[in-house]
Amino acid sequence: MKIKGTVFSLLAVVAVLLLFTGSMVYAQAEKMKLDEYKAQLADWQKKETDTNTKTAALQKENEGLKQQLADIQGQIDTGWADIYKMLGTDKAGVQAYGADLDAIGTQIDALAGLSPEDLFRRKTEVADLEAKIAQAKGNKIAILSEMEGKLANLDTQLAGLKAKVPDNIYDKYTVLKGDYLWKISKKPDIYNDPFQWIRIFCVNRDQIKNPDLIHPDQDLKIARGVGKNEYLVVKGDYLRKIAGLPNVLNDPAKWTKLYEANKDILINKEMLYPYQVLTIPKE
Amino acid sequence: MARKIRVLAAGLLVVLFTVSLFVSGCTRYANEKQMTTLEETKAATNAANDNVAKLEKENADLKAKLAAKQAELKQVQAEKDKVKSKTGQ
Repeated sequence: MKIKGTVFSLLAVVAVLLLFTGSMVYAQAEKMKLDEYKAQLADWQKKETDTNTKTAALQKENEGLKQQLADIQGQIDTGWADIYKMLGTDKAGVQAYGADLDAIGTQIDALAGLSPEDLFRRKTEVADLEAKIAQAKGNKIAILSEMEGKLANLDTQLAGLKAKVPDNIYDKYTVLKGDYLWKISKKPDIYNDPFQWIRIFCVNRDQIKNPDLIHPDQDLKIARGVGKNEYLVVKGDYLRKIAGLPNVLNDPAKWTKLYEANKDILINKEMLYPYQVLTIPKE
Repeated sequence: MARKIRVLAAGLLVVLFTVSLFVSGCTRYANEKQMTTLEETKAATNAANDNVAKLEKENADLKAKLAAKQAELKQVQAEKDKVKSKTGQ
């Protein structure tokens, strides 16, 4: 019995010792060995030193790059200042010129959105824009590449716009029984003026051979403007005078050409009627 | 008999105690202060690495800007030559 108690005591002590040793071993396993620590510390310190060296090198290089950028910007600014001086303007002047070209482009776009009829009615604006572009081309600033590009674009836009402008616009009138040109011309929705009957005759020469002879259901063109190659005679006009106009032949001596182109509607060389529509011959 | 067991038990205890000392006490470990130093070194290195990454990005940006500005300068010089020849100055 006494032996049994001793064995139990012994086993209990052994168990406690084993627990103690186990816990000690477990606790130490969490810690880093000194040799390993020293190796790691040396490794990280080397990394830190390398990184700091790299940082210093990068900072120096970046400073150099910033300086180079500032130098180049200075050269660019000087270059532009020289250019502006040669053009007799400054940056604001060039910007204003560019803005004017942009505005012309916007106006062309706006006109290009109109119907052919509206565009015909506003053809003087097209001519004004063309004149503005021509004037802008005469400015020294037009030499700049950027402006050359803008002007080239405007030329393209304007050519497209001009192609859209019809030579003339016409309404249609269907002849009724009892109509004659004088009566038609007098109608308020036609010309509200009987004396313009000859205008109807002139633009419908293809289907009216005799102005006194028109037929019911005949569709007549009613001109609402004066076409590109046309001239509307006004009181006091004569062939020599018309031929001398800059928008006609710009030479009074060429009146015969005008006569030749229109002799089918002219009774004689001396007799012109207001509202006659003359065709301007191509030179 | 009981005496023999007691002696044996005492001997066993001595052996076990000695073994436990060998197992847990003879290896040297880094202390808390040393571990803190190591952690601080690691943190400083990582922060320096982050800074390097920022500087490298800035470097790349600056090089790109510089290339663009050099091209712009060439254009300005060409423009200047063109204006000079066309204005006869």
